[in-house]
Amino acid sequence: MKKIRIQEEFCIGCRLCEINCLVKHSYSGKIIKAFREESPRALPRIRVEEEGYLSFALQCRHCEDAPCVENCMSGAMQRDRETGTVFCDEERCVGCWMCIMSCPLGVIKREQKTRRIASKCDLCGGEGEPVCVAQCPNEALLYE
Amino acid sequence: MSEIIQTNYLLIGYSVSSWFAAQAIREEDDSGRILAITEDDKAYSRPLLSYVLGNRSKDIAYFGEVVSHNPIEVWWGSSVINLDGVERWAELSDGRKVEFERALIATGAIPVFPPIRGASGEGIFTFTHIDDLERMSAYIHKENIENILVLGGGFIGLKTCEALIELGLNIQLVELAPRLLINMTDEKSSRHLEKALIKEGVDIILEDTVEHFEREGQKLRGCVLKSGRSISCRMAVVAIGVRPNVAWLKGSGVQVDRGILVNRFQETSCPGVFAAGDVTETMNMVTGERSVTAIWPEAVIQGKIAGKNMAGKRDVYPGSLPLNAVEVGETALISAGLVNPPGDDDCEILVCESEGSYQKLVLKENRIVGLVFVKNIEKAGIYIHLLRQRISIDAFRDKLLQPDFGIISLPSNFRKHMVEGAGIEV
Amino acid sequence: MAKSLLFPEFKIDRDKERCISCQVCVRQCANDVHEGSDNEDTVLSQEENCVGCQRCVNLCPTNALTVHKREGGFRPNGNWSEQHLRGIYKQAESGGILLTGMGCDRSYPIYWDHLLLNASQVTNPSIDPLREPIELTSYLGRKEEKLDIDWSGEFPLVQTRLAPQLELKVPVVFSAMSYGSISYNAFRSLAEAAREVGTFCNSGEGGLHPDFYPYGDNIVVQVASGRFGVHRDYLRVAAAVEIKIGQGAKPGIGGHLPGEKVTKEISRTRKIPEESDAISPAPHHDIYSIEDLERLVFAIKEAINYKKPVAVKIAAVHNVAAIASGVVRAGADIVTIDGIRGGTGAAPQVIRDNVGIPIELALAQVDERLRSEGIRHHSSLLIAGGIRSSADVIKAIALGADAVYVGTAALVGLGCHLCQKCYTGKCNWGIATQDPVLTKRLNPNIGKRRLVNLIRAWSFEIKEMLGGMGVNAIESLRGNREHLRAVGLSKEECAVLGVKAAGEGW
Ligand SMILES: Cc1cc2nc3c(=O)[nH]c(=O)nc-3n(C[C@H](O)[C@H](O)[C@H](O)COP(=O)(O)OP(=O)(O)OC[C@H]3O[C@@H](n4cnc5c(N)ncnc54)[C@H](O)[C@@H]3O)c2cc1C
Ligand code: SF4
Ligand code: SF4
Repeated sequence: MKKIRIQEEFCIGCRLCEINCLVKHSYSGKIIKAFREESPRALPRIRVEEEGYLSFALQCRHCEDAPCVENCMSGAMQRDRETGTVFCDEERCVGCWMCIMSCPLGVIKREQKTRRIASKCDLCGGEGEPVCVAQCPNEALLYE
Repeated sequence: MSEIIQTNYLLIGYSVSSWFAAQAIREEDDSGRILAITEDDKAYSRPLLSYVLGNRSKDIAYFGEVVSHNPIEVWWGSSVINLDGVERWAELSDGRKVEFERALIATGAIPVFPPIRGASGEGIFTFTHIDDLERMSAYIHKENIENILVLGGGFIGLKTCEALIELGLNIQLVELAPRLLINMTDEKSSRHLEKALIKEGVDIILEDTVEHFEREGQKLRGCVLKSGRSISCRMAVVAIGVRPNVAWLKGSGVQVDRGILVNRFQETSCPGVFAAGDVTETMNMVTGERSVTAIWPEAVIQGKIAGKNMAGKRDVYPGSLPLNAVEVGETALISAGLVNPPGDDDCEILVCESEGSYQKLVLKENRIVGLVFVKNIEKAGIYIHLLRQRISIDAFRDKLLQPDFGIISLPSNFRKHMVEGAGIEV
Repeated sequence: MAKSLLFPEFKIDRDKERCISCQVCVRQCANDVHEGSDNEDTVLSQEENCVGCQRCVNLCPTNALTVHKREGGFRPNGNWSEQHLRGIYKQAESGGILLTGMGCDRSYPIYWDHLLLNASQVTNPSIDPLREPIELTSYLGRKEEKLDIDWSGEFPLVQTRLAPQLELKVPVVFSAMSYGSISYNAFRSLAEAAREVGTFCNSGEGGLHPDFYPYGDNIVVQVASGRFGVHRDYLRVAAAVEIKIGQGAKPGIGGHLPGEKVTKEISRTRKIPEESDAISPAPHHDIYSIEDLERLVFAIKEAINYKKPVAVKIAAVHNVAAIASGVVRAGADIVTIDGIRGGTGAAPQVIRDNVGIPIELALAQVDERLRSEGIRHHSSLLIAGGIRSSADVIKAIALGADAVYVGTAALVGLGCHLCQKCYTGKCNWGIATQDPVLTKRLNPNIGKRRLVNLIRAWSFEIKEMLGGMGVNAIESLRGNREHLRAVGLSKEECAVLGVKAAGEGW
């Protein structure tokens, strides 16, 4: 399975990955609308961590034996058998946060949609390069 | 003579623990016969009960791939009434007998029902079973229930409140302890929850309990509390805890205290007979004390370990870790491990508080042993991982609970291992 | 402190309709121009600090920003230009020399833009580079008077011992930019690209970081007046050694790398204490004559067993032809000449903009002089200073160069926007800086790819132009000024360039 590889030595801390991720997961998919008109604003499913001059963008690692999947008691959090992507079926998610407790990287967020649901990296659907990778100005994220 | 069936693996009870055990067995043994016997009619998720009641979820069935992609032979709607752990056979209620090489006891827990005067009869429910869900839903509608009493401010009590709030009912929540979720919270975190419940219209009555229920004919009319206060309600949910479902094991040879006693391999006192999930009593990884930790993640881990060992691998159970999450309105709470260390313990406590949010870490000998987070819960998983892995926090102590605490705060070899290493494969 | 009379050089337009307050600009500006406000939904800008590097403009995801030259402020005056006025205000405030970076930006004539190339029509067929081979390889180093060839065997055999040569797959070399003036990642990009395309990069005067020893076959190392990082292995690992006498951006003066830029790695590379200023004296204190130079050239040749060519780099100054002749006679295998538009990491502005002559004129004169003295083949000519395109390259070769150095063009390829603030160490593009926050911004994998693309694109263009002229090897074009014609130049300039006016036939 293709995964996102993080090259922290080239992360420039611009957070364009967060911005593009948010846009990708917004209603309109359009950057200005997503930021200025949509309410609640979509959430980025990637997080840039910074300390001194070190920084990197972190998103779900799509773990094998993913603890979030095992501990999801609704079956909403699941692995796509074809792509290997771990994703949350928003219809089925009840917002119990078992997954949040289980994720060792803390990359699952609570997102307000019609109700509150778990929101995490879905590799942009698993087709092609995820936006964070495609839009990273410095290739600090690679999809391989 | 009634029919005798033979199987390599017998799973008694087919729920979380057994699902994961079956998967683990299959990973090691791709041909052995796995037979599961369960009283249920389908694979369903107990924790979803409250969400279905509150209309957050349409379906109670469990769709996880551990069930859907791991078909095994399941005999639905039948129960085991006798077990001989030494001779290795089990007897079913229909008289059939199953002989096994390895068995897993995963019969879960059953609600504790108090011997309160007036408690038996119409209008009073426990809420741990799919039948409870159907009965409660029907009753609420049929009787046009508006006010409801929830006895017990523990985990299931609160989940029930969550659901009843969504149904728009007026709730009175009665809890004997001075705070909610007594083992999972401290004073402050409980206050946050209480505030959120009050905002949703719940009337919370602490340090009190039901003295007796009052009835009008068959029907429930209300109750009188220890304090003397009387409450009128036509329906009540009793959620004062669960206990391991072990009564049927009498004479089986399997050693039982509160729950089934197991060793590090999830094996009971009878070799070849394993147990996992709510039915067991396990060693708490933080306190080292034996207890029943009736939660889903424990059922998963114990099931997996039991399955591996049943199939002949050696896999060791690391000990249990109580953890849970609730959310009322905007207020989410996650708690894990030891939240209220006993006074004589040399634990250190870190707290970070701001508007509506509360984070507390309990440290002991430079390791995280417990936490409770209110509102800012999203990074709780990182701390829980550090707790489970017993990572020394020496190198990053000053960054704990800082708003920008993250994977970056961890020593670089550990963090790289987490992100890229064998621990979590990339 | 009294109020400054200066005002911002740039104006920042933030399109309020487009700005989403994502703060990318805030995070990217090393000059602290942008600032998030308490009210999370606005971003403010402090224009005074803006150097016009365009980093924020480039990264803004909504194209909400434009940074342009601020109009007005200075009353238009044909004599007192903005540059002069700014200079006076700054100096009246600081009392110091004005520093700058990159090459001279004055509007002196650029002769490349007055030279036009020839093409074949009817009488001499042009060559289609897609169908026929065109050779871009050239060799730098001393060429022999004559070759003794043994014809007796099955194949002819060259008997003469040939002088060491640098083999260039394209006649473009990355010029001297030291690790120190540019970042590790920038240097790595250059070294990797040089290796990939079969050319060379130049260590500059700052020594060679051990990480780059494996790239030695594609590196020319410099020996300059400060002798930083010069030792046996340094000389031996390289493909060639270049003695640096002068630099086009600052002829006649030395160099100064401020202590703040001398990080641990740089101190290791230069062999000087951390945080100490690295000062290159104006002259080499052991070279006061051509004979002294000869001694150094041969000392180095001895050190490297005569196995590699030795180059000598001088700035293009008024008497450049005679000096070059001396340099050739001192034994240089390659003479490097750097013109007035040559770049720098830091130089006094007054020197950069007023000292030296354009490379086109210097090149024409040096080539002419060496030919007339019959020593042109003793050395190859490598020229530098303002090569901007493949057209400049090919014109330089027709004017007499063997190959060209590119510095600024390579940095622009890496992302440089010519803000000329290299000397501040705050290069927002991660090129001319040692700040670890900024150096990360240049991913050498991308840098390498861009440089390889650039050189590849130029070589395609050079092949097209050569083919058009009916020339099938770059070496056949060298010094063939019949392929050049001048437009808009005076008789004297044409004469200096040795080029006929456009319209004149053979
Ligand atoms: C309302 C509710 C909400 C909950 N919410 C959460 C939550 O949010 N998070 C969390 O971590 N945990 C939660 N839990 C706990 C969680 O559901 C249990 O920990 C988990 O289901 C335990 O799984 P188990 O396999 O051990 O047993 P169970 O799920 O209890 O399954 C027992 C199985 O045994 C069968 N069985 C019993 N006796 C026999 C017999 N004699 N013969 C044959 N079959 C038998 C039953 O039919 C059933 O299939 C909740 C529980 C309830 C009731
Ligand atoms: S969300 Fe967390 S636990 Fe789940 S797959 Fe991703 S990294 Fe693993
Ligand atoms: S919050 Fe949603 S995805 Fe996460 S465990 Fe609960 S139901 Fe599954």
